[in-house]
Amino acid sequence: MENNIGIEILALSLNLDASEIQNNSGINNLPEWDSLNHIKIVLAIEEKLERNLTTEEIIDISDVNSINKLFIEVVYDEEYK
Amino acid sequence: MKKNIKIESKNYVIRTLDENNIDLSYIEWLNTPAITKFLDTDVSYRHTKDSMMKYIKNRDNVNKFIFGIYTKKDKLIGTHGLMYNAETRTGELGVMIGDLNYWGKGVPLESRSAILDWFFKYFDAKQVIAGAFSQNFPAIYNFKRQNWEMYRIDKKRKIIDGKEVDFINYSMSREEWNGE
Repeated sequence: MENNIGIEILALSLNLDASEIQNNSGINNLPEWDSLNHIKIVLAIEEKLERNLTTEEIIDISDVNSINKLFIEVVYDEEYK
Repeated sequence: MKKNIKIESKNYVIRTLDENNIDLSYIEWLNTPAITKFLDTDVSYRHTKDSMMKYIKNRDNVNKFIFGIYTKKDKLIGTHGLMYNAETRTGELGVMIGDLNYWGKGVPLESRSAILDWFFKYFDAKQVIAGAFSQNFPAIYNFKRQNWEMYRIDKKRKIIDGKEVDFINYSMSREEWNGE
């Protein structure tokens, strides 16, 4: 897994520099992360994973950690399938 | 005679719609698939002024409400539907932002907050329920921002844009809303 993919995805989707996003950044403390940009973030994750997210995955997306957790779980699933 | 209700928030006025003074943009929104596709209603129904008059007239403003969301300059930009079931002490709340210029502006966060404050103040309710289709990412974002609790996912509830989508059910308890 790439290093902090959550920050990478948020920086790209929100047009921010990665240094402006912290590990604890999320929908409650990142002003650029509004409801329309949320679409961009979900689509960017789907593009990176090359598949649609499940509903359970979609409702979990709320901060850097939740995005990282999603990718960790995907890598884990692929390695131990 | 029906009692009119008016709730004010910082940027908006939320007030019950009047069947004798229907804003035509409301009917236009309900007949626009891009606006209604994520509503949990029969979107194929063609709305007219008469059908909307009947619908609004049927809201008693006691347990069934249809609120307009107005800017401070009195421009209608969306609606909230609210129904209260006294037996289960549960309110059911929906929202539609019809004016596309107000998408992504956080309107539902502010207007829904104002309605929840009013609702929990005047109703002996224990919770409010609401929901969003799984492809309606902005709505899911708004529920997350407001700390609604997801309590059930109804799988494959509807076909939107040729794709089967789930319906996510959320609840907000009186205690959670009041920070108790």
